[in-house]
Amino acid sequence: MALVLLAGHGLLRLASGRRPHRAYGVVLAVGLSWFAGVAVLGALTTLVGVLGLTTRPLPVLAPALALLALAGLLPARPVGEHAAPPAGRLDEPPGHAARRPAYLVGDLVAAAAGLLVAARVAVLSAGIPVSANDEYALWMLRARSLSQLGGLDPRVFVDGAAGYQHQEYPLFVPALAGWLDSWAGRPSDPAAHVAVALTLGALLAVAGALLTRLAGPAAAAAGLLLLVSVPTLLALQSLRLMADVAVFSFAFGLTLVLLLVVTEPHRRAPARPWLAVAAVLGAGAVGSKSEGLAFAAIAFAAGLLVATGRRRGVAVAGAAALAANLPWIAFSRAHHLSSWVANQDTLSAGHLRAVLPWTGHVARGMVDRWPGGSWAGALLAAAALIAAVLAVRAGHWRPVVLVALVVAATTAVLLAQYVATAYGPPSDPRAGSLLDSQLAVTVFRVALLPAALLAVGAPLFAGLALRPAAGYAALTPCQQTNMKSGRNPYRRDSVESETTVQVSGSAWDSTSTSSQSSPP
Amino acid sequence: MRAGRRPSPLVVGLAAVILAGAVAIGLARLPGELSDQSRTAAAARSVQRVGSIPVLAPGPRRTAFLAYVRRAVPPGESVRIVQPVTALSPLEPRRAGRPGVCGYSVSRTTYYWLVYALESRPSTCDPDARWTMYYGVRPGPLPAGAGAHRFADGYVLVRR
Repeated sequence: MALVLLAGHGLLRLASGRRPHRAYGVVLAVGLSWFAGVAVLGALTTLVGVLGLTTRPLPVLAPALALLALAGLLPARPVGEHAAPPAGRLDEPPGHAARRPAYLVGDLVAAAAGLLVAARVAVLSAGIPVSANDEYALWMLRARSLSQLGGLDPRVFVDGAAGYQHQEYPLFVPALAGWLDSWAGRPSDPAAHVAVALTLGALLAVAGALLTRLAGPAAAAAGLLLLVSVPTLLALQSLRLMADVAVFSFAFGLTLVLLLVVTEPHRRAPARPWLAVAAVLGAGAVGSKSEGLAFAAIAFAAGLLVATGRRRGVAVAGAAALAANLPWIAFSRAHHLSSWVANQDTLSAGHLRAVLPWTGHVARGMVDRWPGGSWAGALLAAAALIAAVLAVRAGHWRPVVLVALVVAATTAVLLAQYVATAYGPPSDPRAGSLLDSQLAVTVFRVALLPAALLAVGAPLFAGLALRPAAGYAALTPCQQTNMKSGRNPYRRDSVESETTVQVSGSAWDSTSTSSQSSPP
Repeated sequence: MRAGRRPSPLVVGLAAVILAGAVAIGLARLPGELSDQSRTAAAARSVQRVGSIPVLAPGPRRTAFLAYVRRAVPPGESVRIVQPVTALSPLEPRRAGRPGVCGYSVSRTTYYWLVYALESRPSTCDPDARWTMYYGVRPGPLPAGAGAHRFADGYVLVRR
């Protein structure tokens, strides 16, 4: 596990161009290093497996991770690297060093929450054997095949005759468990449980620290409390050796990082370290579970929509996330491992016409089984709506739009998935019971991302509302268009406006504005 | 609100109420989640084991049979699993197969558990496989030269 963590640290060092603890702060650096380590282990394991090499630590994987870990020791400014900013961390906008104490408190709370939850989950779950269907039929079977058979044995990973389930599922989670098995010398459920505990702890540490930077320590504390209490996350998911916690953690972290990229005042800080993290988290989401591809694609697409001025960086990060998973995508295509959700049968016009009437039933079923969909969930959704209005009025329309898009689109994708995979039309007596069974055993875990975002949205937006945006983010899209086309975005028909604000460092600061918009 | 200005008292008040409400909901939910987590974990930890295999729905006797098969079949060798035939599951993606063999037209939940319990000994549909595990099914006449270990009635490991 230490090697995974250090390799992740090395990857972040290379991708961000900075020492991670300098670029993100210590707490974020540790949490993100774990995610980066899991992602790089998954990507490497998949790659060596696809190439027909052994997926055991030696002779390829461990040395490769060790090399990556050594990269984390590179000097702060290698030859050719741009000079670092003279002061402050990259997670701080210029001139905001005074906020460090606030970050410190928020980071310490996040770290404490992450450590406590990871320790509790590890202690509670270490003695639990694999016993749930998806644990043994999907994730741990593949993990044990990687560690015990030493590669992508075609009898398990390719041949469809023996009826292995969902052979198209990606390998990041099995790769992590298989890696730990190999070091333990035998299949080890306790080690896999500790890995899940660490992932959950890293999620809380990263989420708490990111929320602190986005909305302040009070909002971060409230958001952290809501996150950790999302129904079934601790009570059930944290105890299972499945990919739901991993895909949720990667996708939730990705959304928060993209929020940071598009939110003032962070928009004026260098973006590369955060886009590097977005790429890593996106790769992890795609590599953890099939839904992760949709989650990451939606998050990056929403980011592209609102990250004006940083779209190229977001696009590159998204492309890198996809590229890390290309070996598995190519392998799946080459061996005709079709998706059980999107395939010739489920996407045929006839089938879709037959199952479309299930849409209302599925929507009601999702609402009934929504994680936190009780009165408290409804209250939180209403609070998020009110807080979103306040945040938009404060100039933070970008994060509000991004969260709204991710929640709406991921929910829509999940709904479409249930409808498309219905066994038959409502007139088929088996279809209804199969669909209800599917909803009952999956909604509470696959909908964790939109449910948690909706819940955390309330404190996040409330915190943003207390931090009015200044500058570019405060402009309406129309004003930004004017700005890009060279016109003064604050111009009001030659009338001096009281609402004129200064955009430091831009063409519209106090030294360059025209008389039509001179600040008072 | 004007951009860049301090939030009005109304906004501050509303935000404070929302934050306080969020904390209250989180605090109301968390104890129940922690309690459920402890209870679920305690129940899951109490599962018995035979060898390294947890005793689930099949019970201790059948689990002991699986442990025996794990000892008898070397890792890496394929095993043909034969189970009682059931109605074909509507979730079965395979277009054809021999009912009762390698998970086709059997209890799929049981089949997946058997496959996992024998991990590192992949399942095969090959009728000429060296190892065949009969799980709840009496084997027919054995091929010439084959040996069988009868663990219990219907629980037999055949080696060619």
